[in-house]
Amino acid sequence: MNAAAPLAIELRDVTRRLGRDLVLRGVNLEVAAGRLVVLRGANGTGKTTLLRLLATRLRPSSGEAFLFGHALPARSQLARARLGLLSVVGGSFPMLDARENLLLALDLAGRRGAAAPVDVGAALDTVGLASTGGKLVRTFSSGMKKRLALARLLLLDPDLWLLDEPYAALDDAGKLLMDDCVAAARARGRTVFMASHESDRDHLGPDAVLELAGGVLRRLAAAPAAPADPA
Amino acid sequence: MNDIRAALAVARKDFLQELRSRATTVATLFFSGITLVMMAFGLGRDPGLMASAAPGVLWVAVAFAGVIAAAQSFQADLEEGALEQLLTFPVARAALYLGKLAANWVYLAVLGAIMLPVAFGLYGAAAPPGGWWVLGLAILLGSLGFATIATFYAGLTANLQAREALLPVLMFPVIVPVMLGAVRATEAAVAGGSDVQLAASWLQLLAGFDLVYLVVCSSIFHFVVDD
Repeated sequence: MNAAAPLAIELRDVTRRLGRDLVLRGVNLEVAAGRLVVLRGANGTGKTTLLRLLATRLRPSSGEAFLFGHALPARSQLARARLGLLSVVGGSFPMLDARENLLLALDLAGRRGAAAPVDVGAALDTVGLASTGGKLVRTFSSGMKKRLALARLLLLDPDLWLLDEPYAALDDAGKLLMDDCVAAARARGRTVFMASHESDRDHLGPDAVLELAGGVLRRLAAAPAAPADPA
Repeated sequence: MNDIRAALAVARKDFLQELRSRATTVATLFFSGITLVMMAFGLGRDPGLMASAAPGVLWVAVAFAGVIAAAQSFQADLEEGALEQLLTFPVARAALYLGKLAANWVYLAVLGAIMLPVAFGLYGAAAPPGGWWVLGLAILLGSLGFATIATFYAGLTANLQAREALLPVLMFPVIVPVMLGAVRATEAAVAGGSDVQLAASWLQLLAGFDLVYLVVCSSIFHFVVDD
């Protein structure tokens, strides 16, 4: 590991067991800061498990994991300050409205009142929820919940974007919006690690396309970088 | 400073959720009210027995309500993966715990303050004028003890399928000291006279238990919510 310029993601022979199942088997991965990496794989192959591990919600059963040089789980708190997770279901509180959810995120991130390139109103406007910002999230459709999760990412703009099926439940306009936000984040030097079934989003020009199969990570034939190479 | 702000934000979130859903309010008010009435039927017609049982029945009702309130506060967070998202923020787990505890404590204290006159009216108990401050402190410290333990175990069982059954099984053996302190302090307040001094001793003991539980639970809460 290079201490001067730590990799955004570094996994060394990481395994993860869930119950009796070995879901991740000896995963090695290096992703340099500022790269876009797409993870593919059939249902149940461990994509979400890998993302949850990167989001510090699961610890490796064996092996070593680092985010920006911070070892997991020992220094998870420091790693959490630099990551943001967009989960499949959105991760918002249904009995709060969209605006309250974003303000809560700012409080939890210690960013309330801090200067930011995007404020709550602008984030909601960007994702098309400006007129519904005062409505409870429980009244939202799945696509609107996904848009709200995207607004949270835009607001906090973490160094590492972890996206779990970001296009699921989005309409065509929403998918284009997600593309634009991912491309803009990448242009700002953010690292994006995305698990997606959407093979028609390759116009984003990922630095690497990986596949999880049977808990083993490998590069797809068309991928520009091997899993263990810095992507 | 960030952790204090995060704890306050979590407490505010729990209040807002409850104000809007009223799920816990309805469940706990009805449940503790029914507990008081059913126990009154069970105890019979002896006015002396009824009055002396009032403190114990009151705290049993509050304890049951505490289980429901704490379980519901985590249940609301489990929807839509919100708890999972909450735990990806750079916030000390103790701060998250204290935020949820604060909401549960206020909730239980208000419930206790409502149930106290109901229980005393139903059971024919009364406190002398000098005993009301003891009752107030007993409600504050007793509800803090219950909320401290209930919040911790509700977090522990939140992701388990049998959480409704497991939560009281795990929690009730641990709350015995709090229950004892709260009931004895309430009894002494009702008795009045020199027993008020005895109540002060029970309140001190109750405060001590609360402090120990608070320190222990907040210190090890990360084991509960993190993998």
